Amino acid sequence: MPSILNYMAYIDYYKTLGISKTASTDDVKKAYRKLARKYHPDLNPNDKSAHQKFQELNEANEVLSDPEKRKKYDEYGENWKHADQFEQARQQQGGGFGGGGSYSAQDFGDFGGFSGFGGGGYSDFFENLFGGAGRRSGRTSAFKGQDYSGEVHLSFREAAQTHKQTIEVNGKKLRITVPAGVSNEQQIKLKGQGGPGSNGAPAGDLYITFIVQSDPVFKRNGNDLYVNADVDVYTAVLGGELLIDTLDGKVKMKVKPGTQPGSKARLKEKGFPVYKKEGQFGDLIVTYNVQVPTNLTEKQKKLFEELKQTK
Amino acid sequence: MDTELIIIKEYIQQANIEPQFIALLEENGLIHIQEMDNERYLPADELTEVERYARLYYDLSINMEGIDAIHHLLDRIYALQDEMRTLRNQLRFLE
Repeated sequence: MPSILNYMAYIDYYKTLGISKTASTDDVKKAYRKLARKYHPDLNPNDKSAHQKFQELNEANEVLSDPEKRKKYDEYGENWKHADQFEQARQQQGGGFGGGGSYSAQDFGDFGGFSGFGGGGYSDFFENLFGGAGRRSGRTSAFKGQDYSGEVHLSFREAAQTHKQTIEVNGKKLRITVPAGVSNEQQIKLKGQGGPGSNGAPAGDLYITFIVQSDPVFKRNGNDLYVNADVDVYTAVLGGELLIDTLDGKVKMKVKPGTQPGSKARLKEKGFPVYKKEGQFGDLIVTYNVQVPTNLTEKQKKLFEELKQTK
Repeated sequence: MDTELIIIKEYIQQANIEPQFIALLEENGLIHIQEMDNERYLPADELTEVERYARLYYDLSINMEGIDAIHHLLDRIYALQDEMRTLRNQLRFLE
């Protein structure tokens, strides 16, 4: 038996729904409805833990509201790893074990790797106990598939350029266009890229959250960028020119005579691209960091002294 | 800007939704049906909402008054999440 089985956890569906093992089908239904109202993804937007909990509830309901599945779960549930031994014992005792239906090892499907709940909505425990087939179709109404969500991590510079990214969703590769100017934690919806719908209904949607990394040079506030620029004291006093970092490389800018430490200058349209507005940019705000010389030569000291006398 | 329109008669057949459900949504001001040449249409940009309302109504047995209240609360949640995102980014800027 593959060792991976040791990592696959038994799921107590009764505990999931908060009911006792003697609960009637009506009790199961009531408990499911109550908890589903609390954890349904439509009522908990962008809440991953609620989505996970809802999947767990669905699975518990699927098993416990179906008499056949419930019987199988009750019979083998906690001891599902030993189904083979039970089967052997049953054969040796002339089929007297448990008094239920006959299960073969194949009923438990192939043992796959542990992944907990996947985007498909069923735990490995469920898949192994019931296999992929024979799921209850349940509602006869057609409803949209499940919505999926995921994160795409971008560097600061990547977020400043419209570019293509390939992402993998449930084993399927998707090529998406990331528009320049996305913000950190911004979410986009890709219609129809979620789980398949039931009875011909449309597929669910895929929600992607962009995580944009910070940059060591620039700070971003909306579409404006902030950068610090060192200015030597002579340029600050007399004025001059300075090379400033922008997203497109360095640009030359004029420094006014008498520039104060900490004062700011604005470079129009040199900031971050505006999301989905091609050709529009925020501003770049430059903060002057005036550098006072520390190791003056004798001559420089003398000149500063002379300047002092002119006050 | 032109909005794409969906023929309601065809949509409810495909989605297996009762006509009364659509009528209830309209009565409660949750959707804005358009009528042309005796044909009723649903604006395509309201389709996602209709699908959500259908899940709440059929899957969770929430009545129309409840759906209306949820609709308002969800709007507030989305606005708060947007505000939180903006504030988090501003905080990151100040760090």
